[in-house]
Amino acid sequence: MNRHNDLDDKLAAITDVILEGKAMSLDSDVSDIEMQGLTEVVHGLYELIAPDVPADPAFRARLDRRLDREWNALHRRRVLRWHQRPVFRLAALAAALVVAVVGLALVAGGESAGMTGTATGPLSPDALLLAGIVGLVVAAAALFWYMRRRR
Amino acid sequence: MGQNVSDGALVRRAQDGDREAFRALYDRYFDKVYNRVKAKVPIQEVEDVTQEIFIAVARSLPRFEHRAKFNTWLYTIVSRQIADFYRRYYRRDEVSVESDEEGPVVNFNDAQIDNSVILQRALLSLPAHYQEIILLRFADGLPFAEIARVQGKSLEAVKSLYRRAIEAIREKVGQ
Repeated sequence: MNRHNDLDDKLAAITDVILEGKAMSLDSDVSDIEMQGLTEVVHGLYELIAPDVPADPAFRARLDRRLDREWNALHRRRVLRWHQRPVFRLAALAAALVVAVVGLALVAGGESAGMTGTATGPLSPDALLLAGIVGLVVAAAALFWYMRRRR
Repeated sequence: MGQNVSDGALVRRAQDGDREAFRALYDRYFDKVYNRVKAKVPIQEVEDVTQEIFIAVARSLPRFEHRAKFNTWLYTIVSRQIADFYRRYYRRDEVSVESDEEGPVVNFNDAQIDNSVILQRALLSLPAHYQEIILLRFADGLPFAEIARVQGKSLEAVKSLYRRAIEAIREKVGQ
């Protein structure tokens, strides 16, 4: 074991003792001058950070209340933004697609069926094709919009 | 909420609006964050900075994407908030020097320069990996073996890094 390994182990052991709150006399327990200097730093850090000293309970209580208020405000904002949720957007997209396709199909069907005097006559192949193309274009545009929103 | 629930699971629940999950995360990390702030910020400012950190965490949590560990993300927020504090601190300090008016502005240059302040400044001036090993041991209370496990290093490497960090502080304090 070289000198550095020895120093590493000694300093780690001394740190453990200090952090356990056990008093350590620099003169009696640490003979090495170099180690004494390092031990002083460890003592200083222990006093600075004082890990055993908890926060003031009054501060903790204040922070608890502040975070509760913050949580409530954030949650309220999230509820207000329900329309921005992905599930709602997907549902709205699906509904819009259905309405667009059905509406176009009805219009196209109605035009061709006008000759027979019925509003809901069977769709012509041309009307079906037109409705399909428009539906595909709308679906592609909707998908493109949704993917951009997700990024 | 049980200590055996992982940070990641608690974060997911908190992101779904579970207040108790957020509370459990807050309880789990309060002391560590508070100790880290004590290590780096003047004692009279520790409570304010700690509060700002947890408010920032509450506000940012919905955007946490689980790409990193929660505590890595949390400690990034701690570092950012402490950096923000020092930006305000130095700006306030300049104002207090320039202004003739009496007011609530505190001139921290007049603060008592004791050993703790010197040590704090030395710690702040260390490279990040030296600061982190000291904070893991002192603020988070992790034993060296646990630090080695968390950082994926050997125990010897961790002890060596720690000794070099302490030596660096001693050199800076001695300057």
